[in-house]
Amino acid sequence: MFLTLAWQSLLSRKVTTFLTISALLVSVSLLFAIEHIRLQTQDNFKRTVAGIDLVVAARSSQINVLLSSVFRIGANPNAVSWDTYQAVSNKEKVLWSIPISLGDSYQGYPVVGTNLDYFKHYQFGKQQALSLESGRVFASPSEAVIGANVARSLDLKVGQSIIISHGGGKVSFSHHEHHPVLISGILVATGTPVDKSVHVPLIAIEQMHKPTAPTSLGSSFTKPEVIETSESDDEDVKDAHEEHDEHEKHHQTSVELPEIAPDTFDLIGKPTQISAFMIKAESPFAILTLQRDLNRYESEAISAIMPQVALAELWQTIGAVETVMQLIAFLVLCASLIGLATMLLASMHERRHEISVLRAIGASPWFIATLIQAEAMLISTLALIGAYIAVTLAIMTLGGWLLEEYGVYVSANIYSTSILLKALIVMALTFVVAIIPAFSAYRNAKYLFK
Amino acid sequence: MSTAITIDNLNFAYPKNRQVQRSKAARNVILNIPSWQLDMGKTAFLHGPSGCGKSTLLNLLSGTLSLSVNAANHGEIRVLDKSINAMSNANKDAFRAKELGVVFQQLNLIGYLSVADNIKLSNRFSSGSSEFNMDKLEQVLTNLNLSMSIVNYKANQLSVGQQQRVAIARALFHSPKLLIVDEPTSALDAQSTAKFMQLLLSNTQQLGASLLFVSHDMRLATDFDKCVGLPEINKASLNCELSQEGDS
Repeated sequence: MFLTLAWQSLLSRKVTTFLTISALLVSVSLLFAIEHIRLQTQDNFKRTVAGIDLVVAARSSQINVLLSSVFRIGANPNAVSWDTYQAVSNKEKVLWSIPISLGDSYQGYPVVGTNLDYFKHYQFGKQQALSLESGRVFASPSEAVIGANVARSLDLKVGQSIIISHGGGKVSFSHHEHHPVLISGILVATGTPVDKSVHVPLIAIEQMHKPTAPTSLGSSFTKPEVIETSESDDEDVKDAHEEHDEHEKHHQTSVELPEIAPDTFDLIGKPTQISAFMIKAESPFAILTLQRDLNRYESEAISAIMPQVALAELWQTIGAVETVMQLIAFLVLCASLIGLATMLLASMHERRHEISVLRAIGASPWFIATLIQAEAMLISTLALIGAYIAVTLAIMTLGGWLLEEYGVYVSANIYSTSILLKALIVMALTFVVAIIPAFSAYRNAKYLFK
Repeated sequence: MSTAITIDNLNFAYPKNRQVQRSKAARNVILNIPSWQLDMGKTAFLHGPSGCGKSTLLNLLSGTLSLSVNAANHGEIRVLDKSINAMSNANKDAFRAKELGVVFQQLNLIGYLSVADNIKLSNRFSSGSSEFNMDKLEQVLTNLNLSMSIVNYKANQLSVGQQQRVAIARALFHSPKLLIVDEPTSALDAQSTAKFMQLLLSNTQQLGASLLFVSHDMRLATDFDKCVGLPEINKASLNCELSQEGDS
């Protein structure tokens, strides 16, 4: 009965109630969205580096090494020599190592030159290994394994061939047209940068950048049928590559994936340098000594970083920005809560008669004050539910775009203890702010007949 | 014999801090009633010009206004043989909900609630439980010439005449021993007024409740057991024409 009364009272002032709920809904949505994206970003980053003990790259700051090699954000212009990689990966304490060669891209997606150890050893999240959604891992120098996200957003299938561009960015003017690659496999989505990467054998990177004629490469390393499709594609591309990107994708005819026995081709070649490599130490205890050894490596200036430590430093840097964002969201929330109190306070005059009726039938001034509190709580509860739904819907709609643009996988399930805590804070603040109109109602009720 | 209302040596002036905003005249004592009573089961018609303290008296009787005893305020008010000024505020609210039925000039109902919800809410306060007897509601409404078809209407969808009858229905629903009614016909036309008065008196009698009816319209006084002018019993009413405060 009590809630019915509060609810009916709000319904009798539909427009002001609606506007107040809307204002609160917007600010709570902001609060929820910022909190959720913050948590999800942290989670994403942690997922990505979960299985890696050390990342080694040319000497640079640990954040730079982490971002450029693992997250493929920005670039480390310096490289590590192949000899160093070989030497380090043969160390006793190293369980496995994965070389990474970066710098090229396909339609804005980074191309990662690596070896088969990548698919064998790389782990994300809670020790989950990479797995293939379709196709198989690359087995020849002109094959590529693409991340789930690349496949989905560019509508690529196993058997299609693609032309990799030189350098990063969506618009590139230099393409490795002489070395098309065939998509041999598509990885299952991981929620890490792997999803938006194109993986090719190290040798492919080497070949692409060699100033040699395409024919000689084709005959020496790739199967004839693969070359055929590639050449026909090449012609399309030469006409007007930029404009026809969309068409090209649909015109590409998939070919049967050639059966290639393992070890048929050399997938590594003779690289002189790579961008970085990831290491799993033999035991957790070995990580620190290994890191110290590598940071003192004599023949080359390299940095070995612990991704988790680098992440912590990154959060410290980003932390200030997060705090500012949260503060803004909090202030916006305060503004709308004050609006809520104002609305209830302003309604007090027109409700004098309602209050006198309630008093006449035996309601105490406390009852009236509690009624006002209940109305405030109802408004906030509705705004919280609305914001929860709004943010969920927004993420369901924009989640793909976020993944696309920023490589951040944001779950549409926004429930977390942190969000729950935020909701409780909103309710508590509502209670505090509504004390003002509730007190006014109390006084009104008490002295109404004087 | 027990009485519905006993007023003994009552002296009332509004508290000082509230007087600041009032006119000079109103700062004087509003009520000074040496003695007055209404017997149980009887009906009384109380009349008097505006500003005589009619509403003040009603608010004191129903407990919405406190008689805080001090130099200016003293005396005793007994309603249904209980001393009102000895009760705590919470007890006054409970007493009003349970034992009294109060009806104002107009706007007696909560406009955004349905007729049924208005009466249910009142019943909630008087009985303390959410149990509600729909048959009883029908009975009470029928007695007041109201059909059950209006129970789901919002109170503000009804005509003023209907609203006042629903207000009586609400006040009678919990079978109060005393009904306090303040100029309920002021917004009604002559025909509705006559009908309303007849229904009010017959229902009160049927219930055996006492009735204190306040109006300045002497034509309505005919069927009451007792008819009294407030200036006759209130010694403080000499300057009542000067003040409009405290009334209405």
